[in-house]
Amino acid sequence: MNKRTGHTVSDRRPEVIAILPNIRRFALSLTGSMADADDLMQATVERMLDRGLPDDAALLPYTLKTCRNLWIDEIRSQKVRQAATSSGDPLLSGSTTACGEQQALGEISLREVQAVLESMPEDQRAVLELVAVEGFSYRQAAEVLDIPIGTVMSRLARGRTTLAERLKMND
Amino acid sequence: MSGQADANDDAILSAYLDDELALDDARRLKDRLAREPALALRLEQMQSANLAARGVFEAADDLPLPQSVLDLLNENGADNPRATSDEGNVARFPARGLQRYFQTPVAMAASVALAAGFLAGDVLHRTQDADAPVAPSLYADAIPQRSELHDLLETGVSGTPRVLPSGASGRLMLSFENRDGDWCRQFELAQKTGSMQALACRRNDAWHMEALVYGAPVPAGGSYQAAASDSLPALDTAVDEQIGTGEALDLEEESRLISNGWRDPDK
Repeated sequence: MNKRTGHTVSDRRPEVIAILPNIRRFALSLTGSMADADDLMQATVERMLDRGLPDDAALLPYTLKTCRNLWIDEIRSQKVRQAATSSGDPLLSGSTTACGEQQALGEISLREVQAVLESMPEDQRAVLELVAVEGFSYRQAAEVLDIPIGTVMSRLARGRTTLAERLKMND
Repeated sequence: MSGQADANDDAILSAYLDDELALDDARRLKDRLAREPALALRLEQMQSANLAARGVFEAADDLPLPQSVLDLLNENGADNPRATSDEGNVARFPARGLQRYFQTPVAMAASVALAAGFLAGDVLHRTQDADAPVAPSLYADAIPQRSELHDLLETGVSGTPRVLPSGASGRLMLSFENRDGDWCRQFELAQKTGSMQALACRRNDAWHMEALVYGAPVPAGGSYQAAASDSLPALDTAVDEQIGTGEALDLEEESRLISNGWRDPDK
């Protein structure tokens, strides 16, 4: 039982389990690496279990905000130091693809997209993931990321145009 | 166009994709899209890039969740949840906005989305008359009349593939009357970089996209042979919804309608 709110995450465990994929995808957008994303996801769940949920909190936005704050305040600097001495980690590994020649084409193109995403600034990846994948409104994304709505708009536009131009150049 | 103007347009296009433009701004943008092919093409490319990015992130859903996280929530491995989408694989076209219109199998999302976006651009932007303005967007209210796609829908005979001026291959698969009394056609477009199947219905003397599913690219090295493709199951649902208890037109009925410009003299 959380001392501050009297409201436990365990009470809403099925809901938290249901949004684990959302947390993971968002964590991937922040960290740029699958392994780091899983670490961040775990840290987020631990933080939620420890601190509980405010009664009026919408679960997913609150959880992603917690995730983002953890990344900014605590984990990112550790990962940067680790990355300086490691070989790095692809944005996504072990993804499944369709079979046959379609698989070959799909894998090559998926890797191209992964490579471009990895090269993009983290703040553009994060806002792109929240809006394009999680379906957040600009206002919701702004609240999670603690930035003005105008900044959400500009980062999205830059991210999409960068992706479009770099992928077109690779054709 | 100056760099600043480009950046402004990109922000507006991006917001349009997300259905975040005010109604008046969206209306003004649609007018511009109808007049400016380059702007419309940029929208298509931005949408393709958007879908490609989604593909990468959604591919993470295929990986099992770490047991350590499930243990925190006291779940065992047999209950390892996977993200699933309730939206299915078929896009529907509401009146405005483009948020998550196009669903693709996760593993194919990146390549297919890119290919289909450019494919759509090709068949809609290339016309017989190079000087004629075109209403270019696949997502606009009506398929532009000067486009290859409009020509295919107006004159194509079901079952007979046609090579379009852009080099893409088109094939009509099915024609029927929907519940509203409109003529609808299921068709397929393909080139070696991507393919799609879609459903369009004719009302107010224009064809309108009703549903679309991206398909796989054609295997490298060969030209596309449209006749071999089956109807994509995801699109069958959309067709079933539209066709109701009706039946597909036979070739004779279809040919009669094509000859009459899709106006039924019996109606």
